[in-house]
Amino acid sequence: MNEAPVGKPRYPLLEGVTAVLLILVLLSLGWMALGAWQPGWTDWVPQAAQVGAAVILLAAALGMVSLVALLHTRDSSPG
Amino acid sequence: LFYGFGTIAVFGIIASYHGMIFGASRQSFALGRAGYLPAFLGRVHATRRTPVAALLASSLVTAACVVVSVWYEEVGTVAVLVSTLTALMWYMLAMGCLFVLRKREPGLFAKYRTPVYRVLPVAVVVLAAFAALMYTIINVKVIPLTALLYALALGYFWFWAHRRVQQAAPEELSARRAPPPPQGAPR
Repeated sequence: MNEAPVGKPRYPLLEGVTAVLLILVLLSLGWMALGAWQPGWTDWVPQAAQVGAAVILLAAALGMVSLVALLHTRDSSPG
Repeated sequence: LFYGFGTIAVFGIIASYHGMIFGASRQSFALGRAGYLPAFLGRVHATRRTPVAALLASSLVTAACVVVSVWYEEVGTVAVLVSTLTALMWYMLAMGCLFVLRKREPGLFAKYRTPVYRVLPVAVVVLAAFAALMYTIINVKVIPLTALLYALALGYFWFWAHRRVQQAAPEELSARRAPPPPQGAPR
């Protein structure tokens, strides 16, 4: 695989998906803080669903960040 | 299933201990060699070239916490909580350094690009700050002790160590040898 130009992402699609997941993780953090501050605003979602969604989101973000970080450590220069 | 998971967890903990012994000793060795910590930590064995002093120092501190926790159970818990809080502070400071270096020394990043730049470092800062904020609610008692340790370390560096930093240490040489920013340097 050729080196990406300096400043350009080497795996744009993977990094884009990872960025979206990370933003969703930060939004979920805001949701948790909102639920602690104003419980009535978040009670309409079942707690089991909230916990399940948070676990799936965090696991997906962890997996994607790990994958992108691993790919970036691989030497892609020819020879 | 319970005992099976426990067995797997024990093997994982043993692997973590080996990693911590290696990492903690090499970290204090490097800081001792550079002058940020007492110089004796930066010495190596004459023939084996291993950082014996740093290994012993980090092992003794850990062993002392374990032994004292036999009589005072909360010592181990406090040690873990303090180290976790300092790790959170370190995550935020490291990301801050990344943003500052990106502006001051763009040449350092000529051949390395932070994956998912800006989103990932910002996420690290926000998550670490959120976790540190939880300490003020859940584990507020460890905050004064952590602040005291930081104050002691900063006082040691300010009044003693910063005049004795070894300019020839590999870390200091690398910091001074940053290449000039090339054309089209990453943001």
